[in-house]
Amino acid sequence: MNLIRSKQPISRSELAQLANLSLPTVMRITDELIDSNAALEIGKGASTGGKPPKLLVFNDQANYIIGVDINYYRIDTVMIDMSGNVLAHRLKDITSRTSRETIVDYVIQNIDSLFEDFKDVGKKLIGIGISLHASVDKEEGKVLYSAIWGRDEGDIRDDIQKKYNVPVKADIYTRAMAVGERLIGCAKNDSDYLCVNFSYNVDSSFVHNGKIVYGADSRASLIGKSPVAFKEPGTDHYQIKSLDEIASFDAIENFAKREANSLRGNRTSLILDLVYGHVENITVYTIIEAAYNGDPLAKELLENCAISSGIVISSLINSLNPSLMILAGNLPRNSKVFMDAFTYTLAAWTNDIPRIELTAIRKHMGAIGAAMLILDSYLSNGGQTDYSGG
Amino acid sequence: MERYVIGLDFGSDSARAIVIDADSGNRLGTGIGYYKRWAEGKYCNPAMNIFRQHPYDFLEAMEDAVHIAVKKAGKNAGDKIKAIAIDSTGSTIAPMSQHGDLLCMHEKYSETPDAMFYMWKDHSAKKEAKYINDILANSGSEDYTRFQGSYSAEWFWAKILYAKHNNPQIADSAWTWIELSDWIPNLLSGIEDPSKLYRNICAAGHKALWHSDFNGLPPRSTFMKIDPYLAKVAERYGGAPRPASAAVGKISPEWAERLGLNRHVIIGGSSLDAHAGAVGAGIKPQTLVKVIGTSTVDMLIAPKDVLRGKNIKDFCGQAEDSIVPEYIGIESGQAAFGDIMSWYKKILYWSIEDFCSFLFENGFGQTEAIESLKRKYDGEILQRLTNITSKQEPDQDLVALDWLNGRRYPMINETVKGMMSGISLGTGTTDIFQALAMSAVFGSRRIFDSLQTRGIVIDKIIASGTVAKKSPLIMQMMADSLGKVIELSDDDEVCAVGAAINATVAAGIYPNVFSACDKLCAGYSSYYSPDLKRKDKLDKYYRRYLNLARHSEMIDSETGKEF
Repeated sequence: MNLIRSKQPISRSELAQLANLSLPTVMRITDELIDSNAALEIGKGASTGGKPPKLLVFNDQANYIIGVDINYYRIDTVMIDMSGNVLAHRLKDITSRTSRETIVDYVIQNIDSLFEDFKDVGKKLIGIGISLHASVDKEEGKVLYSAIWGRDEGDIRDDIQKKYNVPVKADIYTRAMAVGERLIGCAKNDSDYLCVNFSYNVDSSFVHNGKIVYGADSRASLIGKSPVAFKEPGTDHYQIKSLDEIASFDAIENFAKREANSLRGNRTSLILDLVYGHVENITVYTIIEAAYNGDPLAKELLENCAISSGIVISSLINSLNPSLMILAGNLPRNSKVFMDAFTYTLAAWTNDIPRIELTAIRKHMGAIGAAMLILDSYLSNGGQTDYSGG
Repeated sequence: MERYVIGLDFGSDSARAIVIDADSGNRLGTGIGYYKRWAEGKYCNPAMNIFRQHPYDFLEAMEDAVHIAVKKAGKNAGDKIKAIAIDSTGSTIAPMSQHGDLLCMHEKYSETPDAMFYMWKDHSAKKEAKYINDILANSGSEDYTRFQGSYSAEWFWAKILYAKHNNPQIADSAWTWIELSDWIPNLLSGIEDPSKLYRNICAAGHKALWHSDFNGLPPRSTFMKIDPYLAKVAERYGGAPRPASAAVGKISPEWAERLGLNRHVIIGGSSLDAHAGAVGAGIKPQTLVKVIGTSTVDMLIAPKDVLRGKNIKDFCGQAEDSIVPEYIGIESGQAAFGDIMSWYKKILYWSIEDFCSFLFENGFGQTEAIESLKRKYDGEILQRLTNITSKQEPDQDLVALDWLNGRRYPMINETVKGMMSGISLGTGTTDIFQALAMSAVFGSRRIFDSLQTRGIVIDKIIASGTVAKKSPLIMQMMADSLGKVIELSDDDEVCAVGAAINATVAAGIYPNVFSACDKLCAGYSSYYSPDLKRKDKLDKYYRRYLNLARHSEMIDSETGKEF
């Protein structure tokens, strides 16, 4: 399947050569693929001395795949064809209070709404991929802990699978995003690249030779626990903390609230001013806005986060030598203070800074990448999607 | 034959009509009609924040405005009108009977303010707004305030609940409640059945909380928690609201005759006034349109998926299709802007009035010459202040807060008041004026910064409105503070023009709002470029403004005032 897709149009004899299989075996396999509509026979190729061979192409219109990206504030659902083209999408906002059950309901509503638009098309849904901010067991594909709803007592894949009776696969957002970027984003021409997401956790994924690096227990590149020396703003001493304890949104907000609560007398900060003194309303955006307006505390806080992140990521870059780094999240997107300090740190500590791009929000990277989990399985299993694993 | 359209704009004090050639964009005639009863102060109690308007004010003003505009547009202009569309203030709502007429048009309620239009700035429903907000924001796993922020006393449901609490007879007599912006197009097209009313998506989204995420209005169960009366009104709200560029119907024979128009005129839809103004100014994605008048409204449009997942409800409201179909309309703004300068003028003018009385008391006659000079001075005093102020550096210590009418965005607090800090024995009249002007500019800056730092991209700024036209000092200060070029729309009647543009789409003359704007918007012949050195200076004052804001809010909370 992969060879047909990547080398199309292709003859059976060429397939046999490339796959190192006998021609009768290839003919049997290709007949099955044609019967299942996964491949099509089109026209004839140039003769190489006998009858002109019939050519095969991958049928990217035979089936479709659903991809779901469950973000902190929204659920993005796409329907793609087998070439990864987005046929339609749905978006739904969620809040920090939205329960797991409600999220599952919203996912089902989005998918049902897409089915409504495509019910007469006569295509087959071959699977649903889900990307999450979570830890996922790669072997079983089980969602172990979601950053949005906590420990998963059930398995969200089961809820969706029961409803639609198709294979459902799950993986973490940065890996799904990495796949999406390779397909339609800025990594189309890169085979070794790093994706980093700054959000309520800091995590990353690495692609080597065009394939996601999972590691032994699917924890490769989950850099949130990486230790780094950190100097708290306003102090002179360093502590060792994990990157999540420094640069996650929770960490940044909690630190800013603590500092805001302790401001007295002539000490003041725009962080507190921008929320009119209501400390509970401080968010990472407040800090970004304060830094934008030159507030020293906000700037120092963001710069320290950027430096710590830069140090950890510099190690990754030096070890993995990617040609590209794709950044996601509101810190790189909306804060020049953060990005200036981050790129400065990379320049200081890497052999070579890779090309840096921001992920394109509107291109549904996470959802497309999630859908590609299904496509990968389909292609690897000769036109059948595997029910197991992530 | 030429094709003309009319844009009808119902403002706070008057109605304006503009006749535009739909093909050339030429402005052929404008007319203004004033609200007579409103001008006399009838049906209002400003001390209690009660502002009601009689529907006959709107009808009479509309007839005056249209007649004047059509007459100026030339011979037989009435025969060439293809469509009319409308914009108005909002929420400006009134109770409607089951027969499709307004309650105050019944003799029984003809002088009952609670049966009239509850004007946009009527703030009598503060308690109701807080109560509604508490329930909407904590309704299980859904937050019904997530697109508009804290529910305001100015809005639809708060006013209706106020009526239920304070005049149950009126509430019980009402079959439904209707926005002014909806009443006019329904009236003009002769729609009498209240179950078949046209409702505009702009007001429905921004004020009544209509959203496709909620499958329309918030659910019945939520309204029942607030008050069963609201659930009843919600049930009767009707079908899906439509945009301003929709065609509602054809002009009724009665109104064709009353307005002096042909009988084939298409009645287009409606929107809130500032949203029509955004269209009239030529809004596009990543363009901020600022309508700067007594208050400000800041508007943007963005594709739906750009805003998904952005928690920005404390900084702006957003509603589907509210400005341009297929886009989310974003609305933010300040509760007072030009009103701040007008207030200061009133303070200063006391001494003029008093001095003239003093002259009279001391034997000088109350002559027509003095009266005439007083009126002239009244019209010029702000300009005279501006002329002096533009030549002086701001007082180093003086900083003011623009919250003279509460704070709408960011983080609504309608109970806060204005403040000034740093007054000394050396503080002069023009220093105070300058500080007030800066505070108004900084209120705009706060909104601008908060949207940009939350990922709303703003490439271009267009300004319109009375203050934008008349105050170069303030506009230059704004360009300096925002660090961006501000283009000034050439149209004086940008809201009415926007309504006229919507009318062309309703009539099928243009396929969509953007193509109509490209042809019909007046453009911008003047602009203000930022002086970046001045920006650095203003940034220091801005930081002090933010600091004063925080202290003011904390004083409010410490004295136990509700917020």
